[in-house]
Amino acid sequence: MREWLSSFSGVLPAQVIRAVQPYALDDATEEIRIRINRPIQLLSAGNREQMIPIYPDERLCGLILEMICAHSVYARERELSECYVTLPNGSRVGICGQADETGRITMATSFNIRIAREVKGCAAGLLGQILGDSGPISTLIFSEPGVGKTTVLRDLARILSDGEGLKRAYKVAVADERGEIAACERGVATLDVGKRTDVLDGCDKSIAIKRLVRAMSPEVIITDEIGSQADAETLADAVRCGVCVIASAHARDRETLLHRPHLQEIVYGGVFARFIRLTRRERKVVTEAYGAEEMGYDKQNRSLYSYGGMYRVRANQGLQAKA
Amino acid sequence: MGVCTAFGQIKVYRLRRKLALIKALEQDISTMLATIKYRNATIGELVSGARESKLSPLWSSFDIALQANESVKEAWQMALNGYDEMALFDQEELGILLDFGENLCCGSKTAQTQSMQLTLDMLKKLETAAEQDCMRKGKAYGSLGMLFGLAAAIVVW
Repeated sequence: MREWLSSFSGVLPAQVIRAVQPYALDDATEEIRIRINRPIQLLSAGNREQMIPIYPDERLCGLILEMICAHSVYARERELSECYVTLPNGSRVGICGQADETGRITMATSFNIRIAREVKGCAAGLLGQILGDSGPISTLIFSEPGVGKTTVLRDLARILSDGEGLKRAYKVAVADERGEIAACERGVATLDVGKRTDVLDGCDKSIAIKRLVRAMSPEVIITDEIGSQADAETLADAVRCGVCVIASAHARDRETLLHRPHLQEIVYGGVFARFIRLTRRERKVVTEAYGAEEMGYDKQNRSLYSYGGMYRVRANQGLQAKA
Repeated sequence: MGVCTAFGQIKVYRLRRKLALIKALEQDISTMLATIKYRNATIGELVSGARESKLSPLWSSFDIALQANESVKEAWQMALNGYDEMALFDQEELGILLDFGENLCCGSKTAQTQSMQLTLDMLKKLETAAEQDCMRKGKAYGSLGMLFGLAAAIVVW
């Protein structure tokens, strides 16, 4: 059995693993999609698809939900209200089905299991972009979903923390709200995020970053999937405190990144000095790096890291538009 | 006379065992409830916390069934069916425990704690009834056993 598949034993029902096993011939599988009364779908890099003629019924879907929640659905209430559950191996299961008025899944009928992998060394090529003269610089990594942002962040945490190929190692803190970067089990990272890395698992990242800055005095903070107003404010504050922040966000390209309101604020607020876009061509991940100015950050009009400055610019823009 | 007295004492012993079983269940479930309230513990953690309890064979077989990919409801049913002491309960009383297992996979922590509290309340009632049974019927069975034994001895003599 492939290693990635065996990491799901005890987490997925045995009959699902038995069904997938003959089709899991290589390590390129990225997603297992399970839908009620539909064949199980395996998706690999390059949009390759395999349909497994097993049709899960309501009972099996119920059992899958129970098992991915370690038989304790109540303990995953917060995650279920966001329609996902992170597994002990770091893989994230997106869930759909019937939800209650709060959005919490009450009956699951679709599962998208995104297989997490440790690809050691995958971020080595980015170091040239991330390292400045005095150490790492705040960087936002963005791409479409499924390209490998989290894998890159995990490897960056490891490299910076271990000082692999660097002049020195850094104190790294990971704000791992969804548990995908370090895949903590009872607070212990199960994936390699480095020797000098502290992980705050399961906590809202806007709160986690503040606490990490105060409590752990990190040199680098790593977090994923930023995008809210609270994230923007917290990141700006962390950078103001002198901490390097490396984060990821969903965006297809520069334009779509700037169309997301809070990300726009982060970009124009000068929080990040470097932007790295990941794209996938064939089965390879290609990177493009941009400086803050290339993304539209204007030093003269916007005071660095200052939201006051940013709002002033907005007001000016509004006046210009009126004129 | 000895047989009848022993029969009476067996009945008394059964009542006491039932009372002890109810108390043990109450103790384990209330510990679990407290653990869930103050720590977002999973069922696996709750069950491993109950390994040292008097009902450890029940929790162990529940855990084994869970690890064999059974749903919580089915695993609990299997554990109850495999635990001999459950023969002390009638169908209605067993229903309370079956409901407890069924509600262990509640989707929310609030519902989970409420359902456990409900089970505890019902077990408390069972405990009170079992205590009264022990007091009244225990004496009655003991005395009746002795009396029947005495009567049988007189008749035979």
